[in-house]
Amino acid sequence: MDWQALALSLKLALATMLVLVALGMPVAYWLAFSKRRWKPIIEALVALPLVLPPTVLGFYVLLALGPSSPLGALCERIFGHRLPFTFSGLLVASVLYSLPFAVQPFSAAFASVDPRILEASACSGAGRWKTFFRLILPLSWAGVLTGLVLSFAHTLGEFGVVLMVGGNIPGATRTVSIAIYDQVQSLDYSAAMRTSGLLLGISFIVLVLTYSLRKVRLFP
Amino acid sequence: MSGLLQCDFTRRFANGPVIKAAFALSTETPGVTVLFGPSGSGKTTVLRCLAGLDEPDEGFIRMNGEAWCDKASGLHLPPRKRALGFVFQDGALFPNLSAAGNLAYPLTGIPRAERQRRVQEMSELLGLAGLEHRRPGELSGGQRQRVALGRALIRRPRLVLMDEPLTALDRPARDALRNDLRRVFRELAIPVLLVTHDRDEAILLGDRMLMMQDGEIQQDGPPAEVFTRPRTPALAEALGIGTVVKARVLGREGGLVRLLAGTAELLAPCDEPLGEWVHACIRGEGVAVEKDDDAHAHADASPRNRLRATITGMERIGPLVRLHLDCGFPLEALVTTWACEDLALKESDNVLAMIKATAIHLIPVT
Repeated sequence: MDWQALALSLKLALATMLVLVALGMPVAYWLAFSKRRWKPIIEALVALPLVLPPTVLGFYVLLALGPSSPLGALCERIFGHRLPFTFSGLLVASVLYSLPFAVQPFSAAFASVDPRILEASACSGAGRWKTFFRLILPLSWAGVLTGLVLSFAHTLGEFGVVLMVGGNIPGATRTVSIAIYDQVQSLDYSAAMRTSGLLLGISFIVLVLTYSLRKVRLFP
Repeated sequence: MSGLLQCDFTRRFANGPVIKAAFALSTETPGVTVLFGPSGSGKTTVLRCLAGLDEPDEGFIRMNGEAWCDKASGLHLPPRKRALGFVFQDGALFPNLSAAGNLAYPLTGIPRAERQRRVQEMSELLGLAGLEHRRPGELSGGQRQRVALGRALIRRPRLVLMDEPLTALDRPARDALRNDLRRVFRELAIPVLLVTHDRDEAILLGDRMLMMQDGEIQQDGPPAEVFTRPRTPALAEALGIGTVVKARVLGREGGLVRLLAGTAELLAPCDEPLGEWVHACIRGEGVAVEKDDDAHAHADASPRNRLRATITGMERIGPLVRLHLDCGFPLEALVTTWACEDLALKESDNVLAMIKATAIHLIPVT
């Protein structure tokens, strides 16, 4: 069992999830409440990772973060090192790749809050921040939880993007799905079986927990 | 001008109605102004524009001289900057907060102890004591509406807007809350603009009534006056006056005017000059019915209009029966079920319809 790879995967999934909370919430809020004409363009951009092959996404991220692109050069200055084939680079790619898995449930939950409640909040003198943190967020807890878990589980299982952007550096970018690939390549089926089983178990349990939690009605 | 809410605006809906509102409301003298009208007449739109939840296409709204909305300069203040209270039809309580949490929500920048005192004071005033920790889902419809009212009042706004606050309640809860509303409005001395389509609510709660129809305010006056003396036949119908009939003026005799409606003669009071034709409006409640048997010729009763009539139809409305009569013109009478059974009234019976002269309101035909 490649414990190092498993730990790295969990770390990446957790980090991705946390970044998506900070990044996905504003995007989801905008998607839920904006009435702009060009909203479908942003919606499509957010949903792209759902349909694109991970290799395509990984390829573009690799190009964008590479030293010859302005973005890559900027990142190099900020992080002090090149992003491709590092954990930070992997994190950037994972965030993009899992974006729809967080944003779509967030946004659907925000949009399903009764508009009367938002109007009542405005008539009570509350601004957007107060309305969001006191009402929208608590009332959307099930959707937020779903988004968090899905982005976590999705990152845990990603393969193509990791291979493209991260490569296969033990301890830095060698995640559990890459480890399984290696095990199969070297015909170590029993190791692959154990690792795969563990990943399957973790994913299944996390999803079961989430879906049972969603049934809990907090506010009758 | 200060102490005044002034508005004159138009809201146009794409492929839909055009709603106009022009009126002024004193914000210094407490009192309830009722915005009354049939559904679809635009009452709620007017209220939403005042609150800032909807935006007029033209015109202005000014509160105590301060512009809330002025389309000429493109100004539109968001609801949170208008410092008013709004009560929604269904309460729109925050389901994740307790009753106390809902009441305290609008209070900001106030020390905790003061906040708690205000919440407690408000829940006592509205009969919510002991329910403070319940979530909206654990409250009855009437209790929820009380919380919604308290939430709108707790900041002591300059104006409270209410959109059919009693409509969603069942009868006993509605009656109880209606009585409490009168008391609370008087106690807090906050001016209120109340939207309703319920006649009892308008009469019992209103000090002034704006009658809306077809997207415009058609009449403005004390509720009792608007209900008994509508300005146009269309208003009379919208106000639920059973009979509106065109009649010819035959002559005047001592403050009364003699009319010919259909084939029947009517006597009605009149202190204004009239043309040749008028609309006679007769409330169903103003018509009494008697069995028409020749043995009794009740010439000794006070109503001046005694018309032979035939019952052409009967409708039960709760404890009352609406009688459709033909007395030379179609006439509606509202009697109790009890009276109806006592007299053993049935369709095609001959009766004597008696209308007090003062129950007839005349509108000149223009």
